[in-house]
Amino acid sequence: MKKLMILLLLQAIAFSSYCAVEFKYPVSEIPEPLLENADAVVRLDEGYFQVLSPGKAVYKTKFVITVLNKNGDEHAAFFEYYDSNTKITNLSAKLYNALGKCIRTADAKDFDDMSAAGGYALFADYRVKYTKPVSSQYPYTVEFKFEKTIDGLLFYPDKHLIPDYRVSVQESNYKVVVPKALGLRFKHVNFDTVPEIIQSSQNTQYYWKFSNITAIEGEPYGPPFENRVPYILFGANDFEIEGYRGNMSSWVNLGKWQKQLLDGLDVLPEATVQKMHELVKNCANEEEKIRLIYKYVQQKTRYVLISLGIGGWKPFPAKVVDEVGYGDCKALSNYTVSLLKAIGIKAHYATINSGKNESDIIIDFPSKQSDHIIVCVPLEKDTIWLECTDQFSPFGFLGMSTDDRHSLIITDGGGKIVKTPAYPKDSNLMVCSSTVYVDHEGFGKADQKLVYKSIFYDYAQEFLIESSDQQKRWLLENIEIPNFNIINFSSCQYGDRYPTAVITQQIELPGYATKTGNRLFVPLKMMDREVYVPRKVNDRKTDIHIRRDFIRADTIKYILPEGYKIEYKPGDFSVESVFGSCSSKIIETSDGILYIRRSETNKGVFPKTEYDNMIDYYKQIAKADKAQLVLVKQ
Amino acid sequence: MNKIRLSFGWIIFSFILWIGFFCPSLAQKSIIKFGKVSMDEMEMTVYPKDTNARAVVLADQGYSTFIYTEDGGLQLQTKIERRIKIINQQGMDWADGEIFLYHSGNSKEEVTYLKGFTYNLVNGKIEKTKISADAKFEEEINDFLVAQKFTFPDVKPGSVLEYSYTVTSDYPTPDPWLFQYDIPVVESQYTFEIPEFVQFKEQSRGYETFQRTVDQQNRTFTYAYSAKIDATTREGRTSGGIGGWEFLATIQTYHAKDIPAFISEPYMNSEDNYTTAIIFELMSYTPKFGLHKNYSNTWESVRKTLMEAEKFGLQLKGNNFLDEDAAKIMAESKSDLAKATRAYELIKSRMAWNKIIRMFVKDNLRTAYKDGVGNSAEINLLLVSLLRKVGLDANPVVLSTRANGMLMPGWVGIDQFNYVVAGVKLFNKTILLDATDKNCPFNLLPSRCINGQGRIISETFTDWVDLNPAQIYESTIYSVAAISPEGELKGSVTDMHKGYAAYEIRDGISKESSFDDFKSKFEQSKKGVEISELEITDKDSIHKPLVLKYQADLTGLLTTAGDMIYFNPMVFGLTESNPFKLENRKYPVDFIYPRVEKYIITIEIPEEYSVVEIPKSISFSLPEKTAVFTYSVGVIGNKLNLNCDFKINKSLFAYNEYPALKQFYENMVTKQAEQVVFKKNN
Repeated sequence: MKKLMILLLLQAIAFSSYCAVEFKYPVSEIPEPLLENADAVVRLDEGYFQVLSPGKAVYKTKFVITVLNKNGDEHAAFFEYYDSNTKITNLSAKLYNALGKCIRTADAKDFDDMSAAGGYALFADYRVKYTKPVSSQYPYTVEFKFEKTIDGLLFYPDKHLIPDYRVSVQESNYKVVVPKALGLRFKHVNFDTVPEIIQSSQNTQYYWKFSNITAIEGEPYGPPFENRVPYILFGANDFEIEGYRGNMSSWVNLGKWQKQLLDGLDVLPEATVQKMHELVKNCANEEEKIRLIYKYVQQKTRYVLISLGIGGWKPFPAKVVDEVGYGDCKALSNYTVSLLKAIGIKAHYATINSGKNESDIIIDFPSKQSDHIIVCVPLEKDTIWLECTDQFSPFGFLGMSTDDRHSLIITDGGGKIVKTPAYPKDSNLMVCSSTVYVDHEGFGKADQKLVYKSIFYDYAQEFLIESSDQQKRWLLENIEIPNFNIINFSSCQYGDRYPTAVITQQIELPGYATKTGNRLFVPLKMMDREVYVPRKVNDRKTDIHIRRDFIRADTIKYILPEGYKIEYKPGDFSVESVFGSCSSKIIETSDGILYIRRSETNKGVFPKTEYDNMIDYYKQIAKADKAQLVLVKQ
Repeated sequence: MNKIRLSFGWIIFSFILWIGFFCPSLAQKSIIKFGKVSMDEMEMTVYPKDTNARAVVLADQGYSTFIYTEDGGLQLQTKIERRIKIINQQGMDWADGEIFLYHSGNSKEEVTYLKGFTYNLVNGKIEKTKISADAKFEEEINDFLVAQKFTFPDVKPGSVLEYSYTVTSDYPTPDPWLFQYDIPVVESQYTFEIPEFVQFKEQSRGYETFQRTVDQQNRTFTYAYSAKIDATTREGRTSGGIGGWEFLATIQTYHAKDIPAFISEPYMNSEDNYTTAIIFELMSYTPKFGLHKNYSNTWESVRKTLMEAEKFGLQLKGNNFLDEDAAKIMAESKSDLAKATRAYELIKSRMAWNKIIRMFVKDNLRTAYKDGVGNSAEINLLLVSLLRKVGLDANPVVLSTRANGMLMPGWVGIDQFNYVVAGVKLFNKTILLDATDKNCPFNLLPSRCINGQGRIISETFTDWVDLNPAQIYESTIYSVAAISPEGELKGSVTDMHKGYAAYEIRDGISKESSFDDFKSKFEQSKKGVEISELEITDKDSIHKPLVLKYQADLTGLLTTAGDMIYFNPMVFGLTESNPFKLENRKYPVDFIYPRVEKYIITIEIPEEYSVVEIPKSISFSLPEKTAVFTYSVGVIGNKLNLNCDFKINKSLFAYNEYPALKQFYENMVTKQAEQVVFKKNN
């Protein structure tokens, strides 16, 4: 069915018509500091958002950006998403040269209109208006204008001031008008200014104005972009979509609204309820029952994203999933909650912002900040979290996409903020134990055992789910040992909430030790010889953020060829810093040597002044890892 | 995708009522009995012929035939029936389907009778679940493409899925029939009934075999038409009735069994070149009451069609907006080469490429030129036009880009091309030029264009042109270093890059957001080496080699132990591991262009040390010197000299050359890992 996969190339449209002579936004008017470290400058970002009623709003904007060089081109690309509840009107664009002379104009028909569901969704009604101006000369300036009417207003759009790294802002202003009766909630993130507020008889108007914000640059081990730039979060008090009214002035209320959407969707056919009772009847405890139900869901269903209208918020009912055996994260999570309810276990639908490196939600401001649904099952002593869209995930394992962050769980009493567990350092393990037989020509053979636990299991899972041919390929492509052939391999997995994957393999290592004349040079660190040394950063601006901690351990026994003696053996190595520690040592044995290495990485936020020490720390490790044993013929 | 639509000669049938179209009496035995899933199929838990398969296409059948209706006129109707076995969870991706439907102007493709069922074995009995209407979606992908999507219910490992649908198309050419997917296929059969009034050419592709059988049958289109009055004269009533149109149809059937799954491999051209398929092209059409029409069935007619096309050949006429530029070039340049170079540089600086790959212009060259923006056809046809205006013999050369697939040998037709470059005759040779990429110097085609042969198209002739790379990838690293008495190894390095090597670096620089970012990536890329004072020469002089100069601290690569110093003199240019990891290979290895990598280093050793061991000099090659490796090392006085050359002299290695190529790389990696040993004199 992957027949004729047609690559949908985003088409760039050349602006079509020509404009009357008009001079605007000349580059000469950009203040000098805004050009520093910048690929583009937002000249003017003017937004107007008016809430007409709990369900309706209009949005108008004018956005002008000057692209200084080729790398700024992407910031002049225009994307505006819409769906069946929103309508884009009065869309236009103008292109100006560096002097500010208008060269071309474009109107709505010159924009591409495409499905935005992309490859990940079977069906969704999101669409996008798109264009990307092209100019042979730099700098150039583009002005975009459009209006949007929203019918079925759930969440007020947030206001981001800086679109990306290496973009500065000359002027940005934003006006929000809401009926007095509704009120407006907002939160300033990473800045603090007071908006101008004007009251009229009907409405309240808020006005923010910013100017001359210089560009920032990304730094290795820096915080997420969102933690560095100013933006405003908005939230409604009362809202309405397709007849469902809600209030989100608190997480409790936002949860209540979501609860209302879920009402009645947990009904299951009697036969299924019976089947579930039957399934868990011999279970000793609650956890066992939950495990069986979860396995049942994994075997029964598969993930298919179908998102339509309010379906974007409302899952399809449990009985439909029961019948068709598929659903999206909402439907599969609701189904799991329903099955658990059927056997008398209380579980909660839980919204979460997923992604390995995503910033956490801002918990003191109730609003839509999540993109995924999982299930939370509170037990007497601890809590089990279930990812229902993955048929392979071990029971109760979240992995890096949803670990250690805040989730809004939907309870009978409304929403509640709860944190998902972080994987502790001593569970995040990657262990390599090997015995390497080196012959007198330098040819090696090895028995190797690799253990991946908790966050490392995330990597190994993509191996575990493959067919044996593909597993072999995965090993050849992912195990960082120069030149090796696999003779045989096997794998197993055990544990669930802190799962472990074990791969054992027998490999050949042609030219493992290099031979020159009478000598053999034996590298000691078998795998992952290249240690990442972060690049230099002049005048670092941000603190060092390391999100997860972990341990790596290597124990490698080298059986050396007869007739050779050790000419040189590296000394013991040990280094410690706030970022972690690393040590290695070599012990001589009767038939060879034993190489033992252990490194720990600490998580945390470290002052930026430590960055040079961090580079130095990793350089020391990189050098020590290159150490080799030198053998000479007796 | 250029779709030709047949225009009909018999517009007089304006009131024809459809009363039925014939059902093909299946001359070929159907390989699938829809709805009759066998117990064997249900009980299969692994596919014995490929135990790794996550899913298997049990049967794949297509039947295309022409129909005639009042609304649609002559249309192509294709019925697809497919049965798939899901073996395990990974195979579930085959439970979501999509059918792409093309439309343009008044012509379109439509899907009807889409139905599908999931079969599961429940307590020894086969249970059947239908795809419900809610599980079918139509999605508008863009202005010319709609996807009909659907998803099967209740799918689990072990399920058998079956679906069928009919596509009715205004375009007469059937889609290529694919015998091969990324899962194995047990049996696949495609039948195409071709009426005598339409002619097609066919071409097979891929590495698996299939059978072809031909049969002939008489067929009839039957239609009713009602009374009609001539619209222009308002008289001459024609009475209604029933008409028939008899013709002979050739029934071509293509059949294959046990086709293995297609698995992609590294160093490979676009996947579409390798999967097994049968492809059709419309050659000609003779309507019942019209004139015979030919669709590009000779190169001469391809040439003529293109030269007469409004969005191609006709664009080369006039263009007096280029006259001023042309006059300037003529005045400033003496030789033809200078003229050509200037014209090329002028178009490159004047025109920005909007990244759209096309063989035809969107509007016209004048607009594109005025906007300073264009698709690949607009830019390169502007170049042809300008080259002609400065008095050179220049013509368009049409080709198929690598992503679009290789040309099929013996295949005559426009559809397979998707790109055009300029060919200019200089010194009796055709030099190919593509002005879309600012980093491409004169006479260097971007790698997307290096794909077999192209076709030169002019007002008077057409011929093949080889798209071989006119330049190679060439890089030289030259270094002078010394070990200090304190045991530090430092040196200065000069990297010189020519041809595609220079192009790749310039391209890399322009992809970075700043030159500093490039520098910092470059520094990072040299592992264990500290780079300083990096300077770049001729970054923007793209017709010159690109030179990088820097200082390097290589101390980290030394092992010093007591009286001994050990190190690998391949401090740069080291191939650390073999890129060819798979044991066997089915498809050719495609390097795109030949490569030469040279590495020369001189290392001064402290006076008090003398050499204990150095690697042996060696040279080895593949037959006919298609790949050559030379490693030559020596010590003169207190200087160690190493010269290491690596050459790949051809772009394409056949699959049976793979084991030797893999071994070649393996030997190279081993040799390059060798070390030298020095000892302090006592």
